[in-house]
Amino acid sequence: MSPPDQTQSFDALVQPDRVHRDVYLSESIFAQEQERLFGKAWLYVGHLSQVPRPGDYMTLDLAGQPVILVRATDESFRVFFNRCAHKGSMIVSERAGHTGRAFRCPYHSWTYRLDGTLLAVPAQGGYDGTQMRACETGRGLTEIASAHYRGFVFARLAASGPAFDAHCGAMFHAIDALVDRSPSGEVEVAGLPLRNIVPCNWKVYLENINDAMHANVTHESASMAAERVWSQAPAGVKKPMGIEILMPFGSDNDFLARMGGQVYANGHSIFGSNMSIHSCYSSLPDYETAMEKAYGEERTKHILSWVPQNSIVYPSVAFKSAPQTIRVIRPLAVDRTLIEVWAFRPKNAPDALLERTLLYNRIVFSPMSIVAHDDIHVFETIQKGLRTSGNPWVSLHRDYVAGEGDAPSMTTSGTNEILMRNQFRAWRQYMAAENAYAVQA
Amino acid sequence: MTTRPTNDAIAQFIYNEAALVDAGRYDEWLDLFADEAIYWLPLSAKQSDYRGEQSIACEDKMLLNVRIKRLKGPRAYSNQPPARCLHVLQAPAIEEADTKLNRFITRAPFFYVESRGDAQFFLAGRVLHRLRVENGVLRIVEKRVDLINADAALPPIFLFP
Repeated sequence: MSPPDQTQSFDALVQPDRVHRDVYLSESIFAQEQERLFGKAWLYVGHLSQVPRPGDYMTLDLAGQPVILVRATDESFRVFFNRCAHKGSMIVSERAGHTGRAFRCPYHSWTYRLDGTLLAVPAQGGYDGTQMRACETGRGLTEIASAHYRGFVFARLAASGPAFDAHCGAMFHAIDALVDRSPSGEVEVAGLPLRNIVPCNWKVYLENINDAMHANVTHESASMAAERVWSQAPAGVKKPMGIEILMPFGSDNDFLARMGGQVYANGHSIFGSNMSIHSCYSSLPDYETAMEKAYGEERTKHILSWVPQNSIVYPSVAFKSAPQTIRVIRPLAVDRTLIEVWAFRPKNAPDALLERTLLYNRIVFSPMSIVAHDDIHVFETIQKGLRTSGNPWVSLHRDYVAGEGDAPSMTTSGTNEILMRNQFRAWRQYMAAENAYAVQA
Repeated sequence: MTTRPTNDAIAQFIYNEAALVDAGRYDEWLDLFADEAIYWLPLSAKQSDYRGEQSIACEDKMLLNVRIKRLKGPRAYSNQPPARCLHVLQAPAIEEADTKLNRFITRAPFFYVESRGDAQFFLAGRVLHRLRVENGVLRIVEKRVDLINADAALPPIFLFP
C-alpha cells in the first residue's frame, strides 16, 4: 500500500465503478482527507437548542481540531477554534457548559468576549510597545465560517470556499422532513448523544448508510430473533414498538429497490427517497391530530407520507426524519471512526414520538445495539480483508451506467450503488489539487 | 407482608445473577427478571428517568429475550467467535429492605471484562438492583448499570454488563 503523492493518482484509485483499497487503508490518504476534504467541506457542528442562552457553549473536534460553538451576547451563534491566542491552550474543556459573559483561559487568564475579541490581559503594560495587538495574537479567538439551517449548525474550517447554501442547499428539504414532523415546527436535542467507536474507515460507515442490499443479510439475526419472539406472543397483543422497529430489517430486495434513491452534487444523497423501513410504523393518533391542527389535513398528509431512510449531507451527517435522529460521522484514524447519535424532541408533540426515537436509537445505534453489532463485525473485517493481496478493488458496479455522473442529480432504485459512487465523485473533487477544487452549481 | 430475605440471600442472588451471564446461561438469567422488569444503562448517573433522554440500553424482558435469541442464532456474525464476559463484584450494600413494600435495593461497584477473539476491554461502574420476592423467590424489577464512562465513546458491548 504505497500511497500516491501525486494528485492525479486519485483518479486511478477512484474509477467510475470501483475504488482501490488504498482509499480505506492508507494513512497518508487519511491525512490528506483530513486537510482537503474535511478541511474544506461544511461539517455538522451541533444544534442551536444545545446553546439556548448567551454564554452557553459546546465543544467538539472537527477533523482533529478542537472548536467551540457559543451563543454570543447578541444571541447570534459563532464557531471558534478552541485555542487561546496566547500560548495555544484550549480555553474550555467541558463538552458543554456556560461561560457567562466571557471566556477565561486557564493558563494566564487571558479573557475573550463571546464574539471572540480579546477582552483583557493581566498586567497588560508588559505589551506596550510590542507587536502583540497588531498581529494574530491580538485578534483573539479565530472564528470559523458557520451557518445553520433550521437550527442545525454547520462550519467550514477553511477560510475560503463555497457558501453553505450553495454547497448543502439541495439537502435542506431532508432537514425540513425532520423538523416539519414537529407540530410546532421546532425540535430540540433530547439528552446526551450515544457515542460509538467503530473500528473502520469512515467511508465504510458512510457507504453503509446508503447500502440497501446488506440489510436483510447482515441484520437477519436481529429481524429473525424479533420475529421468533413475536410469533410466541399471545394472540391479540398489540405489536410492541421494539418488534415493529426490528422486523422490517428483514425487508426483501424488491422492497429495498422500490425504496428509491436520489443523488445530488457534492456527494449528498437520499436513500429511501420513495419510502423506507420506517414507513410502516403504526400511527400515533394524538400526534396526527396535533399535526393537523398545526398544518392542516393536506399538508400533514404530505409531511407524514415522506419518510426517507437516510439523508446524507456529505461527508459528516445522516438525517432520519422518522425517527427524528441524526448520526454524525467523525473520522479519528484511518481505521477508527467516532459515530455520535443525537435524538430530537419535537416541541409540543405527544411523548410517544420521542419515545420511539429513543427506543430506535438504543436498539439500532447504541454501543449495545441489537442491530449494529453485526454491521460493526463486518466493517472490522473489511479493514482486515482488504489487506489480502490479489484483488485490490472494491466493487461499486451495481446498476452502473457509463456517463451517469454527468447529471448533477438523479432519482433511481434504492439498491443502485450510484449512492456510493456519487460519494466518491465528490471525494475525488475534494481530493484534487487545492486550486482545482470547484463546487458544482 | 413479605418474609425478609437475609442479607446473605440477597448478596448470593446478586452474585448468581452475574455468574449466569458470565457462564452464558442467558435463559436462566432472563428467568431472574420479573415480568415488567427493566435492564437499564443510562448515559449519565444523573439520569432519573429513561423517558425523555437517550440511554445506552433500556430493555424490557421481551427485548432481552430478542437479544438472547439473536445471540444463539446461526447468523449472529458478531458473535463469531463468541464474546465472553466476566463480572467482578464488590459485596452489595443493601440500601433499602422494605418488607411492607416488598422492595429490596442493593448497590455494588463492579468491574466487567468482555473478550472476543484476541480483543478484550473492560468497563467499571456501579450496579443497582431493585428486587422483590415473588412466590418465595427473589426477582429483579430493575437492574440499573451506571458505567463510570457512560458518556464516553464506547466500543461495541456485545453482552450484558
